[in-house]
Amino acid sequence: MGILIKLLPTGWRRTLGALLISAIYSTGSLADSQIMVVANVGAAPPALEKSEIRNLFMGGVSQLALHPVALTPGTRERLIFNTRIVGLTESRVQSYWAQMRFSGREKPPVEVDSVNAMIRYLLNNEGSVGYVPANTPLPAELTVLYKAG
Amino acid sequence: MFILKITVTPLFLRAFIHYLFIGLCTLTPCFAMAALAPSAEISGFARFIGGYLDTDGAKYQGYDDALSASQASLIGIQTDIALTPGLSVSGQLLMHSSADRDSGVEWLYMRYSPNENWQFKAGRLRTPVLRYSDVIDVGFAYPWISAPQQLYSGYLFSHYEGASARYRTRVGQVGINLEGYYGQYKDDINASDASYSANVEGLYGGIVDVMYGRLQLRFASLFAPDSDTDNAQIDPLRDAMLQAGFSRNAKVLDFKGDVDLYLMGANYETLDWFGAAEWMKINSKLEVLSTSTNYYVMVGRYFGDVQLHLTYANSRNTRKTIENEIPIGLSAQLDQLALVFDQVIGALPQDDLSTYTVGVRWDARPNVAVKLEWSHLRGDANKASYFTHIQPGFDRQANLLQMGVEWVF
Repeated sequence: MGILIKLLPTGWRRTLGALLISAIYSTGSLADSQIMVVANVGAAPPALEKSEIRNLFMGGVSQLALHPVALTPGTRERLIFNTRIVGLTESRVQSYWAQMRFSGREKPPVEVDSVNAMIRYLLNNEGSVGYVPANTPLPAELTVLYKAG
Repeated sequence: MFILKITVTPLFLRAFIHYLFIGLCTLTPCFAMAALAPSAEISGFARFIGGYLDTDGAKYQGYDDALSASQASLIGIQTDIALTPGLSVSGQLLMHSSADRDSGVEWLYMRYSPNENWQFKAGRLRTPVLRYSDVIDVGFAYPWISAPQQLYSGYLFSHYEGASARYRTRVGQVGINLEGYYGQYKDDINASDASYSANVEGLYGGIVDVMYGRLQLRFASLFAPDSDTDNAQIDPLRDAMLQAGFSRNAKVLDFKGDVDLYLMGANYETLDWFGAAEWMKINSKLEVLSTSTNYYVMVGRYFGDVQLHLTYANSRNTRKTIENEIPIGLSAQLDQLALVFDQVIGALPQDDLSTYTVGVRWDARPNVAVKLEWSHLRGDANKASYFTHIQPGFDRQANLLQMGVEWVF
């Protein structure tokens, strides 16, 4: 089965992956599908609601002086974040950012390609906010702002 | 039998390179700074679209009954150069395959954002009326291959040279964007088989976007007071009317007056479903320009990286009754002049068209989408209805099939 999946073109594999994960979500059997939104914000972390996190990651104006960091497309945590927080499919997120970029309005969040890279980026950039799997051991400098799943 | 026509000729490529060179030279001082500034970015978009219209009675969007890839295919390159953290220059160069579209500098503007709330732009900009007006060349940004023509080819002044100010705020869970713009438009407007040279000195308008959760509402307006439009074929007739003393007829052909446009739009999207609608009304004091009411309604469904969408779009034009003041039967010359006047008025474009569109989009990669789209067109047989090169007997009904690839980079 695995070999058969590998033979599929990349796009088909992504589609199949999305469908499988959607199916798993709908049955609620993926216990470790939680993610947490974490930030490097010092001693007084703001209490964030889901709508504020969505707004922040979709380029909306925010009173919070935070800049978002996303994982690259295709990563599992990004799919969970898009599904649970943003509420849009990856393709819709991509077309949204194409519209924002080529109309000269906003730019998409900085992207990193792994959870380890995310942790490193957050540690090196005060005021940055990203997301990692809920069971990720966090350095003391990072604060959990929200859990989803 | 299908004949594939691709008219991206070497001459066309040379023209694009020429424009690219001019654009880059314009930005040379900025590029010099960009060498020091790591925030200079070059991005782009491209679309390769093939289409086929199942009739030999007319053309629609340039398509006829031969498979063609030269009506909507294009390449665009955008350069964004940050001069300071709040000040940047952006330019967009476009090579378009359609004969009806100019290739060259599509955008060139300076942007100043003193803070997150305010954004000012000045330069050559796209008029931001409809939801996708300012990215209509970036097919990757929207579901269709062809956005509904009743709105997206009908808002007349697609770009302007001037300035805009945008203010964004958030009240509780409601996001609000306010935008105002002012500038001038001086370019050709292509309508049906005719081309008009339009000049608007003080074009202005405003936009209000309200976002609440998954719902977005949009209200927009555009005002073009004292728009002045010329047509090389009609102007001599107007002069002849003046010389013959028929000033009311001449005034009808003068093409000067106010044009107002109003738009309301809404879209709602979830993980599985999306829906959108836009309604646009154009009023004009030009007797020859119809009052126009256009709208579309779209609903779509996501299946992983595949989306299926259905769209109904409609346009209704209403023109004032234009009375011909030339008396009939007094002389053969006057009868001829009256006939020509009636023919010219009768030939001015009026577009009553309903379209039913089914489309599929597959996001094969995060930056590549493959699309397939079928549209059934049902126009008023007594009007142009967005068709061109109309042959006698054509009933204004046709099917347009398009497929293509959208790419952003």
